[in-house]
Order: sequence, then structure tokens, then C-alpha cells
Amino acid sequence: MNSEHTSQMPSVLPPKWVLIVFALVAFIGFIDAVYLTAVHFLGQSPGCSILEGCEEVTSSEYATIGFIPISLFGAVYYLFVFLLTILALDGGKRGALIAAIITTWIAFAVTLVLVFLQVFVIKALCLYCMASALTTTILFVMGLVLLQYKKGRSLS
Amino acid sequence: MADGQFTPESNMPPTQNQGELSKKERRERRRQERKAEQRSAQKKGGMKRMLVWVGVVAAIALVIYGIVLGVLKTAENSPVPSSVDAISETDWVKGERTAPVIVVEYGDFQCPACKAYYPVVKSLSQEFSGTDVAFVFRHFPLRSTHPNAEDASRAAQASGLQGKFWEMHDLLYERQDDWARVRNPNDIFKKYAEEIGIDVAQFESDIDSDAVKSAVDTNLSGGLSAGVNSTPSFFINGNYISNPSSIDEFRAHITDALGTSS
Repeated sequence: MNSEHTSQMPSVLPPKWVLIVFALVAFIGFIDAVYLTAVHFLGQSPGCSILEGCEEVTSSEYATIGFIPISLFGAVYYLFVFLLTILALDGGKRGALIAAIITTWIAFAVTLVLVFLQVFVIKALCLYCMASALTTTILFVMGLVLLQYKKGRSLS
Repeated sequence: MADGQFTPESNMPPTQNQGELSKKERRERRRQERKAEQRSAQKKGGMKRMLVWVGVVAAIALVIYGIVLGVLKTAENSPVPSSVDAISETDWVKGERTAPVIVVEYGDFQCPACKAYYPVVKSLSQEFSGTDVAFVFRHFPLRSTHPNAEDASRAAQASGLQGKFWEMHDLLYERQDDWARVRNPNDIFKKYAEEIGIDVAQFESDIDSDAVKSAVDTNLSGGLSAGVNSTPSFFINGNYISNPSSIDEFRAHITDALGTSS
């Protein structure tokens, strides 16, 4: 199992442009999560608006852990993945990329739970939360593809 | 020096000796050149890396700064409703209609935020009961986002015709999750009518009456013309207050108004 696992790890780093796309997606996720966090702490008090509907998701009991909004955890996660990818790009550190990819697995599992809560428990969707679910899913899938990368082989 | 003569220091022929030395020298020179190149490349690489990380940190700082500024500006610039109509005969009031301090709420029974404010308002109305404060509820069903809000408003209005507006108002908020997403909430409202002890047949006919419909419409259009654009929206003595973040903040608004009025 172990040898199988290590054989999956990339022997060399994938092309730079792929890593740049990976870092950019993480950065977009970071912007989204920082926005949600800023709205949580600085925005107007929650209500239901004529034009935008309700902030049912972000004002629900599932939106925070204690006083900390989930989006703040998201922002830290995206920043972590972004910085690790830059580290991989800049210093050619394969370990950093592997760490970033493994982090996306955890984030993807959390995202599945959050989307489940939105659809089946809160029964409302939040646009920015779904955008974050999308960026995490892209990172997760890209991470799986990157793990398959071997020098001289295509990424598919 | 004669041909074929060797120097005492070397047993090699002079030309060969010179060639050997120059090879060594060349090798040494090449080695040093390579070292210098490496050093300069390292220096360049170090600079490049530093620039990359400075760029990364700057981008992160810029994003955070820009977003915080944007969110703060949006909160500041969002339109604020103007003052609302004075209390009328048709309003649902807890307290004296002539009270010097009137708290008006524009609410939507299907709105989760209104449900969250419901216990706060109820507790304040109990706390200030018998004093100079009255609490008014006006319908503001957000029809585009809450398909059952209008029916809920009519149910409360119809119950009010039988003297049980606040009883239905409370039940609707307390059990919002039970009826908010069903296809026909009126079946559930009928059960609530039974529960609060009103004439169900009368209730059913009132729900569809023009009087009830127009009462809800009047509240809604009054709110719209005052610039209400979200629920709940609170006004104290006609002046809009942004939604208090705690019961203490809400209480402070009321006691301020009481202080001003006395």
C-alpha cells in the first residue's frame, strides 16, 4: 500500500503553467473567503433583502464555530494552499505541492458537508459559498490529476 | 639556453612544461569563472525569489485591504429608509396607541432574520409593557423570495379580525420551519387557527377576503414608499434604526427615545 502510495507521488514537478493555474484557483478561493469573512465582521446586520433574498446560509447556526465564521477557516486554507504552491513553483519543492494537494482532500471533504447542509438542512444556497465549493472542487480534481504526473507523460 | 638543455627544476622539456602549466591555469580559471557565474546566478535567483515573495505578500495584503474597504463602503452607502407613517387605526399594536415611544417593525413571517429578531422584540415588549412604549407590526412580505410569506401575513391578519393577531404572529415565527417550504401552507395555518381557538371557517373565508388582502398590501406599499428594502426593518418614533446587533443595543435605542420624549 505504501509503495503504491509513493509511486503515485509525482517524481518531478508538473509544468509551471499548471502550478500557476493551481495557485490562481487557490487565490480566487482566498478572495472569495476573505470577502465572506469581511461581510461577517463588518457588513450590515443580517436580514432579508428585496433584491438579494436572505442571508439564510451565512446567518445560520452552521456558519460559525463559536465566534469564528467558517469563511475565515476557508481563507486560511486557501492562503495555505496558495503559499505552498508558490513554494513549489519558486523553490521546486515537491513536498510543498504534495502538502497542498493533501490539504485540498481535507477541504473537499469539509465542502461536501457544507454543501449537504445548504441543500438538505438550511435548504438555501449562498452564492459565494457555492463559489468556494467550486474552487475547492477544482483544486481537489487538479490535485488528483497532478498526482498522476510523471516526466514525459501527459497529465491525463 | 642551448637546445636540448633542461633546467634543473624540471626534467620535462620546456615547451611541454609550459603547456602543462597553462592547462592547469586554464582549468583553474574556468573553475573560477564557473564559480563566479554560479555566484552571480545565485545572486540573481535570490533577487528573483525575493521579488516573487514580495509580490505574493503584496497581493495578499492588497486583496484583504481592498475587500475590507469595499465592504465598509457598501455598508455605509446602502440606502436607509426614511421615516414611516405614524401609527394608524388599522395597525397591530402591543401597548397604548398614544404612547410617546412607538417601535414599528416591518416584518415578513417567512424571513429567518425576522424569526431571529422575534424573541428579542417579544422580550422587549414584555419588558416595556405598561410603560410609554408601544410595539407595532406591519406586514412586508418579500413575495419574490418567500412564496409563503403573503399567505402567512394574511393568516395573521385574518386571525387579527378575530382578536388573535399576536397569537398567530407568535405561532408563525415559532414554527416557521414547519410551513416555510411547503406547497400549501394554508392547511397548516388552519391548524394554527384551531390551536389559538378562533373560528376556522371564518378564518378561511377571511384569508381570501379583499379586506385582508388590501390590509397586507397597504402595509407593504407604505413600507416601500418609506424605502424599506429588507426585513426586519425597525423604526422608533418614525425614524429608521439599523438592525441592532443585540437586545442591549435595541433596549438602549428605546430608552434613548424614552429619555428624549420625557
